[in-house]
Amino acid sequence: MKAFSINRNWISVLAILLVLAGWQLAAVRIHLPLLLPTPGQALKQVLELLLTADFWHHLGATLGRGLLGFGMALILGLAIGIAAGESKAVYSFFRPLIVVIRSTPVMSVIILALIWFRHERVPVFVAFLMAFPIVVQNIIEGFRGIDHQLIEMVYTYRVGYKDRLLKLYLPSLVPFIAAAISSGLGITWKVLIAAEVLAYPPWGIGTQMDTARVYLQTDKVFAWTLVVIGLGLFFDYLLDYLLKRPFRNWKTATGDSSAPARGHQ
Amino acid sequence: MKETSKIYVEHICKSFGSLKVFDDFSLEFPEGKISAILGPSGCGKTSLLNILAGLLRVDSGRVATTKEVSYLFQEPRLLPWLTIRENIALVLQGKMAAGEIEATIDENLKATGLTDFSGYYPAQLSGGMLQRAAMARAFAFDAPLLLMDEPFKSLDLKTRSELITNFLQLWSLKPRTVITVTHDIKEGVMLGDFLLVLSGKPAQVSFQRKVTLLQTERSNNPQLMALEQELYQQLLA
Repeated sequence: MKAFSINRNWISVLAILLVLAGWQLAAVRIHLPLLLPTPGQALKQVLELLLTADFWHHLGATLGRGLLGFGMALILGLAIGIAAGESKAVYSFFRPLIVVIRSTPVMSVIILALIWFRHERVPVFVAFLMAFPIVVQNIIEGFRGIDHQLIEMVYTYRVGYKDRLLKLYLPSLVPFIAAAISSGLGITWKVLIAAEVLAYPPWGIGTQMDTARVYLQTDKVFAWTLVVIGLGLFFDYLLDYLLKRPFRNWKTATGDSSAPARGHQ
Repeated sequence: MKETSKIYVEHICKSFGSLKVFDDFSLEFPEGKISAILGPSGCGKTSLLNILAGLLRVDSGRVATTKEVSYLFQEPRLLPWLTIRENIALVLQGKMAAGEIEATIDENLKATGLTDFSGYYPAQLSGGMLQRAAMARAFAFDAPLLLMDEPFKSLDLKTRSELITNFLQLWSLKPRTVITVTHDIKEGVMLGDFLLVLSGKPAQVSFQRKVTLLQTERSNNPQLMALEQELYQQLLA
């Protein structure tokens, strides 16, 4: 098993190396850094950015907007998802709304937000609206998977709402909350940057990308893109790390390997 | 649903789609006694318990049951991420003071022989111990009515007989109305003060009998052996 996982890691590294090699080859071949810089040039640009104070300001602004928009989506999505799981009426009420939001093009949302809100708020609103249906969908799905026998038990023994929520629903939903955060945050960074490019707030990675485009600093566009990818990876690994902990007690401690595990573990 | 100390159903009707489980069905259960319901699978035994627990609504008719109901299910139904102590505390929270909760848990863990396992998670215990924990929870919850849906079914013979003895000890300490559903004639005769056989569908009482002997005096009683035989014939019919 261990030998296999080492092999698997090497395969992942190989895939990344292949992409980098392809990129390098194409860049050398085209030989126009204005169109396609080499990976080395992009990485050098990232390092240069890291040394500027403004970089952290831009990163902080984007990060703050993303976490604010997604945080609101997560809290509201959890509340509505659980309410919809408990009550069919709530589910019937929100279902069409969620389908409508999910089917609305991101660009329509951004353009409308540009008309309605101040520039700094547009990306927050867009991130919220795009992540929200993903969270609700995951939670409703997860609620359906909660052991029906346990729900009957808590109802029979008249367990109060707070205890039902904290001791039955939320622990049962952990793998689905994790999935909601993982895919919700993934989409958040994507739409957030798109919204920043169009809303052009004074601080933000999207703004910087568009500025770089205007000045034909393609290496900078690549550098900022790498930063956003890094941001996504950081949160993905952070989530993985945090999620290994709550299950240690009640499942893995007994040697049961069926504890919910995410993706690439 | 009426909340009383008297437990009965009167003229109830309940259908699942086109399947009529109860059609004008009435039954009253003696207070403070153990009623044992026997009958073939699908005759409405579990549905009757669920109706009395408030988990299932009748289409029409009257249901009188107590406000608080304990339920010992076929499965232990413990939350896997809570310890045995926390699992019992879960059903007591908000119903008594914190100190009283701890004392009640200790008392019931002791009565079920689980004191040393209070900090264990369900995945760390055997099936018999889990059902004991569920029993501790059912008795810790101070309800005048205890429903039991074949709680000893999936246990081996020895564990089952230990648990039945343990149940009778707990019940004599904290008497309450018990309605138990079982497929096991011996278990029914061993426990029931009021024995009834349901046949379906729709459900009807095809046999009922009162047993006046104390549960502790029932083993190897010739009269009860005859009753077992009679029940056997009833269930085969």
